[in-house]
Amino acid sequence: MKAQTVSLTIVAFLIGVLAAGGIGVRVIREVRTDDVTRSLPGSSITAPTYPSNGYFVDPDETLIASTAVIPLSVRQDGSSLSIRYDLVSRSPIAGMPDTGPFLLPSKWVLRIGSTMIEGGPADPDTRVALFDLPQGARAAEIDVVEIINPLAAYPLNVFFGLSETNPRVEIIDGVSIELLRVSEEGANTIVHIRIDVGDPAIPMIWIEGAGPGWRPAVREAGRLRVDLTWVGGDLPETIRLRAHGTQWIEIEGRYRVFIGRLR
Amino acid sequence: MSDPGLEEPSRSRSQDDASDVIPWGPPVAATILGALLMASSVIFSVVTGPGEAGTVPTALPATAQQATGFPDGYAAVTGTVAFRADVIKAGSDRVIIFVSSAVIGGRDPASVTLPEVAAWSLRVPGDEAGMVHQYAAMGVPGSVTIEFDQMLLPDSVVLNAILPGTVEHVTDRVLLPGSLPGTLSSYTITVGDHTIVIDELVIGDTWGSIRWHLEGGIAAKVEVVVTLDGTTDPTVLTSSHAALLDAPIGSLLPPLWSTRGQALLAPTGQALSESSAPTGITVEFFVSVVTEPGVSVEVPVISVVAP
Repeated sequence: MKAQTVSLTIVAFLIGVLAAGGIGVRVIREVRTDDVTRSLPGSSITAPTYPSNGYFVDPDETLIASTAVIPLSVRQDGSSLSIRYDLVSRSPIAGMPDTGPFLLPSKWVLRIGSTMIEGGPADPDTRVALFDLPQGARAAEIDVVEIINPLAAYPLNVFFGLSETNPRVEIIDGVSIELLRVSEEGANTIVHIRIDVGDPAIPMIWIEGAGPGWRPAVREAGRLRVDLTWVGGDLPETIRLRAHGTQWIEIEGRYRVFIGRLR
Repeated sequence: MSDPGLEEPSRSRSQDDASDVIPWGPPVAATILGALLMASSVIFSVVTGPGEAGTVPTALPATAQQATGFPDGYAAVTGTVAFRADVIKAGSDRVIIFVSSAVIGGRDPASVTLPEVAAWSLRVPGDEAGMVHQYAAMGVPGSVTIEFDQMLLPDSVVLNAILPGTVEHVTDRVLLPGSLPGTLSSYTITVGDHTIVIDELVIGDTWGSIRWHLEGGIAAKVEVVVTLDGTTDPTVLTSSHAALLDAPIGSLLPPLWSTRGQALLAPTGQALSESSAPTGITVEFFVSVVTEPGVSVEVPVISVVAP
């Protein structure tokens, strides 16, 4: 066999492999995709309903978990730059009160050239990220805006104990419960509790007694204090309580925010 | 007459063809052989599956958003809702998982309810744990926190949501003497082959508490309604969470499926005045038990935070 024939044979062999391989990869993809969907319940196998425009809420959205961060405006006043944004949850809420999304994009970073500038909202209820730009910098020069390690709220349910010898307990990172005092009110015993909600403030937290002998909790209006009424006889040395509500959890990651159309 | 100028080149080409003719047999055979080899590889791959690394679809590929209609990394548990474990925090003696949910694109979240999960399981190679508790809060609808009291290595962890399959409901009634505080302990309620054990029920004039656990079965829910009989305006206590809280929007949602639970009882309505001595106490238990598991769906895990 001549060298030309050998070369041709090798090339032909490779063509055969590649052609069959191309078809094969598609076959494998389809079969494996089918494997994944087969493990889901029948009702989950639906035709794609993802909006054809390619976003859930807004073309400029940044999805963090299932909440969309949507930049609304960019405003510069001297060296002060503000990015106003909205949060829209994609969680199912049928039959629930509209409490709004509990996402706190607390730390923002923007980059102008090689300069990184940190900023963020002042508190969970303020949906404006503020930045101090370097002297002479303009919003149009911003290269990248990112949200770093945002906080998301999740359900909280913690049992714990307080006593005179151990009057303060950190129930989760940054959130402590303190036994202030115990007083008598007729035949009842009142246990006065203070909640130190940390920074940023925890979205919502309640304290109640755990086990028999407690009446429902009373929360002092406007103050993070709770008076618990004990009617179970002598107050135990260790007071068993339960905290429930919500807590902040950090979602690690960098999430790019798109402000190009707003500058 | 022929034109020698044309004939020569023509003959010359004919002679070249005869001497350099390509033998197409080997290349054609090689093409077929190559295709057959690759085809057999494809068939083997399809038959044997994607292999160890691909058997666990822990995270959907980046194109899942387009393919499923859910945000990246969410796995569908129903046709309209998908779950994702955003964070797993491994403590010194327990694992807590924070799960969020997302509605499929094109649907209004206000028109979709969060599907119930009967139980969650956590698997690592060679070990598996069932949840201790799962709970939801009214302030963050759509999110669930799950607690495991077994410490499993977080590497290559697999989380499964097990939907309710068969659910049986039982109502049980107990009459107690009228003396307060009334107590009931180690009281059992049978549901099919499964047993709910009321570890302790304590009833006061306008307060109470209940603690229970499930023996056998997947998960259960227990609600109790206590009526202090014989009073002119009978006091009714309930473990319903809505009645426990003193604000329009309380923090806890009704208890999710669990294998054990405890709750305070509170009077229905706003009255907290003490009632006169009852002549008797009627206790009604409303019990639901998941006796058979439904579909199990693997929920992608996004981030694991070790202690």
